[in-house]
Amino acid sequence: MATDYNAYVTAEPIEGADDGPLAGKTVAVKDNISTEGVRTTCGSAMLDDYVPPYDATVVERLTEAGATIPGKTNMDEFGMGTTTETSAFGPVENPAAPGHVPGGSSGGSAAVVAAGDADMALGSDTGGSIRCPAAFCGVVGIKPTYGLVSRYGLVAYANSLEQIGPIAPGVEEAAELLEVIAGPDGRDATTRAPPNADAAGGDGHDLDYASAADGDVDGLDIGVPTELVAGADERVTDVFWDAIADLEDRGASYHEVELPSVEYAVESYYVIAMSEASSNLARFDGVRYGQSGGYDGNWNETFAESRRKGFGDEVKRRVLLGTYALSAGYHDKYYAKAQDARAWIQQDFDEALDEADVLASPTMPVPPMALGESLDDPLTMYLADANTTPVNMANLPAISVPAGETDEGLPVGLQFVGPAFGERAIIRAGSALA
Amino acid sequence: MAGTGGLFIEILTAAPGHLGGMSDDADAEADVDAEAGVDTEAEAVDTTADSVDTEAEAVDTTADSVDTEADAVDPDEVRHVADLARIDLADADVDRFTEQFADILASFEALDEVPEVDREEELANVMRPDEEREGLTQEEALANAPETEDGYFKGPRVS
Repeated sequence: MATDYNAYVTAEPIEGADDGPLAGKTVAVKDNISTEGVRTTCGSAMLDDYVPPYDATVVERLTEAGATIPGKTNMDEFGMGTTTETSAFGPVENPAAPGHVPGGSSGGSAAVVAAGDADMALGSDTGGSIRCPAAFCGVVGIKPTYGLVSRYGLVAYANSLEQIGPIAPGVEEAAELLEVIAGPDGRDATTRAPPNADAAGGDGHDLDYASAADGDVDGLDIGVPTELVAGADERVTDVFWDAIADLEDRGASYHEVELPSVEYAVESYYVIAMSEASSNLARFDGVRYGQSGGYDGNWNETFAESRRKGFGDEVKRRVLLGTYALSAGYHDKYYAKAQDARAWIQQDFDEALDEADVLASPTMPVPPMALGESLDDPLTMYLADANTTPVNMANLPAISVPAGETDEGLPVGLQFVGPAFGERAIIRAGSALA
Repeated sequence: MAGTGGLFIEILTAAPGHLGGMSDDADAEADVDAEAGVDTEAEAVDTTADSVDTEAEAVDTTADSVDTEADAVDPDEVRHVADLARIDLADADVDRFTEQFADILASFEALDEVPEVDREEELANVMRPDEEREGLTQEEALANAPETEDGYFKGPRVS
């Protein structure tokens, strides 16, 4: 049961339409995605009684497609974490690896799917928050191309990096869920119709992803970025190379590629994400929503009191570091350099994808950590995002599929990265494994 | 913002995206117009004359004192940034964050090696007709406020 591993913050069902492509299916929703009339906490004490007055676009599309939402899933506070241990509602345990973290920040969403408590789930991915928990829980997760899925109603952490995406037991189901949520939205000016004709109907609403999940990798050309394999734990790379060999047996080929820029991905990602977070989370002052800091005394002190009570340690850390990185005298040193790194990463990926259909790497450089192991050392936790953050920096689509298990039985995920709006390519490649 | 005795934010223009619809243009209005506290905060970081002066001093001091030791922060600097970010920190938090920030900022030093890169963005403005549309009712917009008065959000005194 989902309650045993603390996967739901709120288990209050929202019924969908009687028919539609997802009729009869349950789709759990991460608790940073707004649901009208149902509490949406972002895993934060700041919002523990916040009830949105409107639905996120993806929630409207889910219920119109017939899905029932069984509840809102636990997550790292405001999406800030790699283990789902920073939630104000307590950590989530990994149902596929008891005693271990489920990955994060969409840990509750991956956990309910892995345990079979929901058919599918939605997560959000700012620097790996769909792919990491999918990998750690042995399920499939897709981080769509930036702009494919509406963020309207997603409580923002770092707008320029994040996308909502599906988590499911298999690639085909994940692709079916992606078809429902993808496509332009007038309420999110950063959405657009996929330009490639094979993936889109005229207005971009008639998307076809599930048909690409045919497992056919004959002739597939896979690039393997050496930097993303070299730093990984041997228990992970053993499983990774076995999976690549399996794909070769089925007609795929691989070659190594070099992406020198990704050596700077984690650092530049955190500078950009923290900077955006420091601005986005400024709205939480306890006046329109959130924990009130009271009404006496100086307003700056009152807001500071609201934010002391409402935010957990990891959120405070990122808001402070983001404020620091943007402050006078440091902006050029940190933020401007991080934007250079982002452009460089984009160029490296574009070039590598000119010579390959997809790129492949371990999703996470390590197997799931034991619960409590990484809490006191934020930098080590950040470095675990080495393979996922470059994809967000490059705005590209990626899928994590189960590749096997370590000798200790811990799930290992393999990540395929595709060109912008190349969701069909990563879905086809992934479907050969899951 | 100057000259108001108390912070009462009118919500008649509050848009549906007031929390969560970051990408919505209406949301941008709501976040800029209605978030008096936030505006001030953003200014405090970038442009408010007072805090920038203070900050500039703090930065200079740092630059002088840590020539050899790459940008480690001291507890006073952590307190100063926490002030800018409007987060009240306990002394124990300040000490812990000072230590952790030293590690994290040292890792960010790697960015010095990143070359200047030309951007190849293909960006286009997205426009829509400026037409009236349904927004939240006043009651809906106020529903999550810890305290309201006469149809307004109630906030602390601006001093």
